Amino acid sequence: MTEPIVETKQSENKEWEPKIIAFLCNWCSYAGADLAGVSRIQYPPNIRIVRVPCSGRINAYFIIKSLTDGWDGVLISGCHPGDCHYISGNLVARRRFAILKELLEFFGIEPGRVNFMWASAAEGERFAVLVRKATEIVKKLGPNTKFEKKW
Amino acid sequence: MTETDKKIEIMGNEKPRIGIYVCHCGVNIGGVVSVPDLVEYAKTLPDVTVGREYKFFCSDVGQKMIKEDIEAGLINRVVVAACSPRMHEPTFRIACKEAGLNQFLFEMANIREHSTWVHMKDTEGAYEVAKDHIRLAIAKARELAPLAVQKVKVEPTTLIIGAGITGMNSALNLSAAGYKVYLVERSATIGGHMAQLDKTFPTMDCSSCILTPKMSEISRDKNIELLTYSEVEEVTGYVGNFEVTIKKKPHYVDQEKCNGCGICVDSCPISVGNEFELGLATRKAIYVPFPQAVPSEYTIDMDSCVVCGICARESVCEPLAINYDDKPEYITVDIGTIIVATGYDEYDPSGLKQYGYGKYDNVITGLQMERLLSSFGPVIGKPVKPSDLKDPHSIAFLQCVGSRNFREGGNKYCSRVCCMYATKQARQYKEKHPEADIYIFYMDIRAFGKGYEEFYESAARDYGINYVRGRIAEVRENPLNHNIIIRSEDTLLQQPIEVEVELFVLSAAIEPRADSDSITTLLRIQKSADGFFLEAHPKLRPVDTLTEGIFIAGVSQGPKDIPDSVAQAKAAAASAIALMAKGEVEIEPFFAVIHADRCSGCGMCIENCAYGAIEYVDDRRFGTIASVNVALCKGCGACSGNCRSSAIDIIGFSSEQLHSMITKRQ
Amino acid sequence: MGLETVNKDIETNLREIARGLLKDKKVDVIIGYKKGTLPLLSQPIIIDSEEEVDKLIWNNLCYVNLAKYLVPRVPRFVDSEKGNLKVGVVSKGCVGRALIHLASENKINLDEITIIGIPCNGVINRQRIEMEIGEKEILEVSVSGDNIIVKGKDFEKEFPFDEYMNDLCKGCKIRKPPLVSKAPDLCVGECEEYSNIVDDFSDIAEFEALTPEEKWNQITEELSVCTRCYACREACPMCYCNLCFVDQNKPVWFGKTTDLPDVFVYHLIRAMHMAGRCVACGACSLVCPMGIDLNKINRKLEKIVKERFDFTSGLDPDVLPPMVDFKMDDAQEFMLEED
Repeated sequence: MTEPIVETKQSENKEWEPKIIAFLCNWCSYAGADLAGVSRIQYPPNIRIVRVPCSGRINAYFIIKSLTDGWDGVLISGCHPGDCHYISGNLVARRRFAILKELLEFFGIEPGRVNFMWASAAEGERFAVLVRKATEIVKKLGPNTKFEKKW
Repeated sequence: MTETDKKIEIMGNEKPRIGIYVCHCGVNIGGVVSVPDLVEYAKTLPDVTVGREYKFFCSDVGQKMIKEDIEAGLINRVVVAACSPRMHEPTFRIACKEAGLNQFLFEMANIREHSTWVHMKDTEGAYEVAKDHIRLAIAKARELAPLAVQKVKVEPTTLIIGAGITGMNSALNLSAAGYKVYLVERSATIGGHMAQLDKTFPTMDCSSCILTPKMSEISRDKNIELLTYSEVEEVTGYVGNFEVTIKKKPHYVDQEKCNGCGICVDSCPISVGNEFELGLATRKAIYVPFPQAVPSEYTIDMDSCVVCGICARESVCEPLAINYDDKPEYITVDIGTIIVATGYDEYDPSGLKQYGYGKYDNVITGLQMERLLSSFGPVIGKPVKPSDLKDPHSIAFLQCVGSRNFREGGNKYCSRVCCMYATKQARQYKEKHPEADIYIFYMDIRAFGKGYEEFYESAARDYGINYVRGRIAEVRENPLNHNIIIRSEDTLLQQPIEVEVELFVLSAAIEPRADSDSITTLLRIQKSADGFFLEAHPKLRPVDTLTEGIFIAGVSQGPKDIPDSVAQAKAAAASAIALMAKGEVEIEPFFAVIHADRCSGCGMCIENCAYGAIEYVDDRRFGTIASVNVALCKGCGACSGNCRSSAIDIIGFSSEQLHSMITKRQ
Repeated sequence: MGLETVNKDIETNLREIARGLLKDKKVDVIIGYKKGTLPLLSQPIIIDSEEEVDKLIWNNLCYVNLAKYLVPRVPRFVDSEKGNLKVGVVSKGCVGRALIHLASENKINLDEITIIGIPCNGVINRQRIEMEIGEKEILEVSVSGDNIIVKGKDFEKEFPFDEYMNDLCKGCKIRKPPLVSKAPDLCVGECEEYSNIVDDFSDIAEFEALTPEEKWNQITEELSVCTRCYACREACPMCYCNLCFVDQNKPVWFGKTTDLPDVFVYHLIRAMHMAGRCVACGACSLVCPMGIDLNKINRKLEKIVKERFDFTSGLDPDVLPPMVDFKMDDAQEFMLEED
C-alpha cells in the first residue's frame, strides 16, 4: 500500500500541526482569502485551499473522503446567505452541511473536525480570524487517526 | 485542419505530461520560500516531465519559456505556481493557446496570496503550504480535459442605472460611439446630487452652469432612451445577453397633455418637506423637483396627495392632464452591458448627539449649506440662520462628521471631498461677508487634486479663514440667541478653545445608498467592507465588477469628487464599448453535464437549480432522467452537490478533478 | 383483545377489500404478504385474481417494505398491451409513507396505485428473538394475548410483544398510511390524516448523551460485523439509484471492502442520503443477515428533519423534501461563526 503523502513531515522537535483542507467558493471566500494575502494578514499555515465555483458544489463525498484519507480537518467557506453569486447555491448547501454535521457527530466523529463558515470577498480579516479559530479547534482534537486501517 | 489544430487534438488526449513553472514573483515568493526546492519537489511527482523557475512568469520572457516547452512537445499540461489565478489565469491561458495547447489544460497553484504573503515569518510553514498547493494543482491538472470556449453575441445596448453626473457622462460617451443607451433614474429628474451644489471647487465653476447643458444634451440625444421616475425591477441573463425589466412609475399626470403652466402647483393645498432642498423648504404634493429639472415633468407624490381633486378641475388644469388612475408600466429590454452609477447618500448626523444636529436650530449639514448658498435655493443664495433667518456673522465648520470613525458601526473611510467643499463654502461666504468670522475645525486637510492645495492655501492666507486643528468635544446652544457655543482643543497651539458662532455646519460623510442591497441582489455584484460597490481589482480594474458585463462608476464605487467621477464614467463607458465593439464574448465552458446511465430521475438537481437550467426528458434508453440546458447553466454545481449517484457533474470542477486533489493516493 | 384476534381481524378485512378491488377491476394486481419459508420470515406475494386473495396474510412478521417493488431498475408492473398496470399495495403506515414520498420524488405515479391501508400493530424484532433462542432450531412462531410464542423441538418460550417489537415500531406514530387530501381515492381500507406529529425522540437520548469517543466505539463495534451484502440497501424503497455511490468507479470515492473506514463510510453516507427520505419502516435492520441494528440511525434521521425543518417524510406528495428545499432563514447555529 502506498504511503499516504498527505502526512505531515515535521522537523525533529516541532509539535504536530494539523492539516486542514479548505474548500473555498470562487466568488466570495477565495477572493476573501486573496484579500487577506494582499493585506498581508498572517494566519497559521495549516490550511490547503481547493477552489470550487460555489459552496453548493460541495458534495458530502468531498468532506468524508477528506476525513478518510487522513486530512485532520475540513473547512468549507462560501458567500453569506443572500449574497451567493449563483443566487442560492449556499442556501442549498447550508441544509446539506447542517445534516452532515449532525450525522458526523452522531457517528462519533469529533464535532470540531469539519467546520463551515461564510466569508465575503471584502472580508480578508474575517477570513483569517475564522481560519485561526478553525485551526485552534482542530489542533485541540489531535491527529485524525480514526480511519487508519485497523481491521 | 492546420498544424496547430492538429497539435491541440493530439495533446489533449494523451497521457498527461505536466510542466510545472514556479515563479519567484520578484521577492514576493522567492524571498520567503526556496523556489528551486519547490521545483525539485514538483519534479518528483508522477506525470511531471518539466520543471522550471523564473522571476516573473507573467512577463514576456517567462511566458516564452512555457510556450517553448509546449511547442517542443515536452508537455501537454501546464501548471504555474505563482499568484492567485484571479490575477493571471487569463494571461497564462492565452499563452497556452498561442503555443497551440488548449487553454483549459492549464491550472494555477496559488503560492503567493495563499502562502508566502500570509505566512511571511513562518518560512517553513509557507514552504509546506506551497508544496501542497503545487501538489494539488498537479493532481487537478492530471484530470483536465481540452474544452472549447462558448462564444455568445453581445447586444450593442447599455443599461445605465443612475443619471447623476457619472451616469450622464457614460451615456453621452456611449451614444457618441453609436450605442443605444437606456438611462434609468429613479427620481423624477436627472442631475443627481450635483444639481444641488452651488459652486464647484477649485475653479468656483457654477455647478448648474456645467451640469444643465449636459442635461439638455441627454434629453436631445437620439441614442439615449431616458427613463426617469423608473426603477430596474429584474435582471436575468449574462454578459451580452441580459434581459432587464424596468418599472416606469406612474406620474399621475399625462405628459402628452400637460403644457407646463404650473397652476396645479399653485392650487395644491398640500405642502410637504422638499427632498431636493433637504428639508429647508417645502413643495406641494404635485411638483417639479427643481426649476431646471430634466425632463421638466410634473409628478404627483401619491404618498402625500389626499386626492382632493382640485388639480384635476378644468379651471385649474385646462388640458385635463391629471390622471389619478395612472398605473406603473413595465418594459423588458435586451441589454449587452450594464453600468451602475447610483451615487450616494449624505450621512445623517442626528446620531452624534454631541453636535446637536436636529436638536439646535442653527446646526446644518454640508449639503444643506450648499442649498443655502445656491442661487435657486430656498434663500436665493444668501445663507441665513434657521433660527431667525438673519445673516450669520460667524460660521464654524466641523470636518470628518461620520467619516474616519473607527468605533463600532462607524465609517472608517475618509469621504475625500469634505475638506475641499468646506473650504469652498467658507470662501463663498467670506466673499460676500468679509467681516464674518469663519472657523474650520479639522483633523487633516486633504487637498490632493489639481489646484486643490493652492485653493486651500488661498482660503487660509487671503480670505482669513481660521483653520483650527482639533476635534470638537461638544457644542451647546446659547438659549438667548440660539448661537452655538463650541468647545474644542487647538492641538497646534495646545490650548483649549471656546468659540460662539451663529451657524454650525457639519461636513457630513458620503455614505453608500441606504438601499444599495437592492442593487447587489438585483445584479449579483458585491460590496466592499465600506459598503460601496466592489471593484474587480483596486488598482487595475477600478470600474469593473467581478461579474462580466457589469461596471460600476462614480461615488457608488467610493467617495470621490466630480473630476474623478467623470473619469470613471468615461472609463466604464470605454470598458462597455470594448465588450460591445467585438460583437461577441467568450464564456468559460464550465457547465453541468449529465451521465445518462447514472441518473435515476429523482429530480433533486432540477429543484436545486436557481436558473431553471435542468428539466426532465424521456430518454429511450434510461427512462425519465434529467437534462441540462447549457444556455441557462452557470456552472455553479448546486446540482452536483446533492446528487447521490454522481450523475450530474460540473466540467472544470469535476468529481474526478476534486477527487484527485483530495485523495492521499497521488 | 389479544394479538391473534387483532391480526385475524386485520387479515379478514384485508382479504375482503382485496377481493372487492380485483372484482371491480380497480386494480390489475395486488402486492401483499404471504407466509415465509421459515417460521420468523414472511414473503411478498403478487396476486392478480380473486381466487388467490386468501393467500394474503397479516401477522407481525410482515417486515418487507412493499413500496420497494414499485421502484425497481426495470419497470415491473407494465403490460405490453395495457401499459402501466394498476397496482394495489397492502400498506402498513410506513409502506404508505414510502409510496407517498416516492411520488414526491417522481418515481411513482399515485394515479396508478391504490393503498390498501391496514392498521399495523408492529413488527417483531426477529434478530433479537433469534439471538435469545440461540442455536436451537425454531419450529413455530405464533402470537397469543400480548406475547410472542416461540416453539422448538423441546422448548417453548414467551416474549412480551411490546418489548420484542422492532425499536422503530415502538415509537411509531404513523401506524396507518397517511390520507392524501389531493388524492381522496388513493387510499382504501384504514388510513388516517396526520397533522401534527409529536415526538420527543427520547429513545435515542441516551446514545446522544455519550461522548464522541464512546459513540465512535459503539457504532464501530456494531458495524464491525457488516459483510457489505447490501441487503439493507436492497430492502429499502428509497435506495432506487441506478448507480449506487459504492458502485461508482469514476472516481472511486469509497471502497467496497469490509475494512473499518469503508464500512463506516458506507453506512454514514447511506444515512446522509436517507435524510428526509427514510420512512422508519425498519426493513433495513430486519433483513440484515448479521443482525446490525440500524434503528438508532434511522431515528436520528427523523429527529434531524423534524427539529430543523419540521418535516416528516411521506405525508404529502406535494411538499418538497428538506434536502431539496431551502429557506433564507434556515438555522445556522452549527457554523463556525453565526453572523
